Amino acid sequence: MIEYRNVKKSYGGKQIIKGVDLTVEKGEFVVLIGPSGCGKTTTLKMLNRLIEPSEGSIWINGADHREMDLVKLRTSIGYVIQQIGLFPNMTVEENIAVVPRIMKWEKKKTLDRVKELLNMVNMPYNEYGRKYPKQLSGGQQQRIGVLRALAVNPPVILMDEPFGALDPITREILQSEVKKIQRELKITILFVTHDMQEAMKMADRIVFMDQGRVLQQAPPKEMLLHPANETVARFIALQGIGSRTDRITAADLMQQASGLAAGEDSVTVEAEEEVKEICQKYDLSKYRRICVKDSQGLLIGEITVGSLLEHLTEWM
Amino acid sequence: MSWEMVLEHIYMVVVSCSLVILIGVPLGIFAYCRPQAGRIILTVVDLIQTIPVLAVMGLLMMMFGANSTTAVISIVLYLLLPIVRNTNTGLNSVSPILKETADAMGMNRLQRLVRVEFSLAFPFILTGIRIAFVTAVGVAVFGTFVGGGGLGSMLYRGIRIQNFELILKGTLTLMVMSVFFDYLLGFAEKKCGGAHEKVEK
Ligand SMILES: Nc1ncnc2c1ncn2[C@@H]1O[C@H](COP(=O)(O)OP(=O)(O)OP(=O)(O)O)[C@@H](O)[C@H]1O
Ligand SMILES: [Mg+2]
Repeated sequence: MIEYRNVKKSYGGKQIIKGVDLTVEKGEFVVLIGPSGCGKTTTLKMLNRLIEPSEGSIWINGADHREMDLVKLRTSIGYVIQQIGLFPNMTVEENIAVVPRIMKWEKKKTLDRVKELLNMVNMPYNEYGRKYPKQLSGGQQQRIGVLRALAVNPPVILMDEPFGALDPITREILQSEVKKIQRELKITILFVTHDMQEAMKMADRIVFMDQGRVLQQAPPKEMLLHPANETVARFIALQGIGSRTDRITAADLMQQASGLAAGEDSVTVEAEEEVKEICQKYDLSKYRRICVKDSQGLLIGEITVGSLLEHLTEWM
Repeated sequence: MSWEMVLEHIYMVVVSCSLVILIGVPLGIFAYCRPQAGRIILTVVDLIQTIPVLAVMGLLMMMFGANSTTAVISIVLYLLLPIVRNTNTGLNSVSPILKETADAMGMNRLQRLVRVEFSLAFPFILTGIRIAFVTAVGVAVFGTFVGGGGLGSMLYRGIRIQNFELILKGTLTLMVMSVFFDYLLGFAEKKCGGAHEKVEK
């Protein structure tokens, strides 16, 4: 179990993490999400002490992580980043064996483990073991990045936008692979992304951060349907609209009705307006209803914000 | 032309280059690990190179006498620049992301230096070594003035007695030697340095 207790981080008087409390259960898949610069990476890196907290403490299985041996701490926490970070001077085999080597595993044991891991992602040792990262595709490289993090079976893995640089198809495949491995091996994963779709797919719990604070922690569906506040709602609304919502208009979603009246709790939009634009234009967390008018300005139907969110969930 | 002169020349080049590698690479690494001291080291090494070789040799001759040791030491001082600088530049050019990743994996400072930083800087260092060898062939020409012998004496005599053939022979031999070292080390550079740069399709 991992516990962040009122963790703060300042750089030169500027506080960028403003008191994070976060508990991650063993085997849980927690996704940190939030706008760029909100402190996701910093929060992650404080766990393996690439960054030291300025205040507060982090506890791992009941021990203050600053009192743990640094090498032990780090070798027990896998680390995967967007830039992949494979060592270009090392072969695939050597890259995967980095942590086993630090932990002074026997050669035979390491080799067996490398082979086993490569088999897990269908990249046979004989074909790929001696290749250099540059000789692999981006997707293959990131697979190796993940395998390297898994090498010594660490109980915890940190992933910082690991699939951010991959094409959508490869990303989806890798997401599934990681989710499957995580479930099977019951690894605790802290995963950073700013892609809501990815968060929805991967997370047991989503932690929404903004400006160095945690705004909401909830399972994916719950966050989607009950965003704690405006910022979360807007972020979800903006992200919910992937390509699948292109060209879906207000008219497509509205319930026809007559005798409607716009009010404090509603916004009024044109029938032809795209849902995507509506989400971007209005802060929907402030309203309950969206009234739809035709070209003559007559109200012809309405969409409840709740039903819109439900649709967005489906489309993700 | 006597083979003895050629051997003397090669001796000066090889010995001085070996020494300069032994001294310069650790110095470059040290300058990298201790950036404050590093700035001083790099400045000093830079300054040494602005002193004319002949002046350095003259000064050292007063201390060590007229022999090949004086020549070798002078060459070493002169060649510190390419080695120290390239080592340092190579280490500094290693991506901070890779350094941080190495830390995150749990490598200690030494492991990170050896397995990641030095290894990635190695092509730069090899380039420095190649520059050193080629430069050494030229610089060793001055060795003759401090009793180091070598092909410099042939050139010097050629100039003194205005013997065109002698000058030409000496020059050509030096050129061949330069090209030889350049090629040999260029080959090594390709072979070791760039193994991971090569993309097989
Ligand atoms: N070394 C540093 N010195 C000063 N400010 C920093 C430093 N590192 C990060 N910051 C600032 O802290 C804030 C949080 O950075 P962090 O990298 O954690 O954000 P993030 O949520 O990971 O963003 P992104 O989604 O863009 O990766 C940013 O505003 C950043 O500019
Ligand atoms: Mg980040």
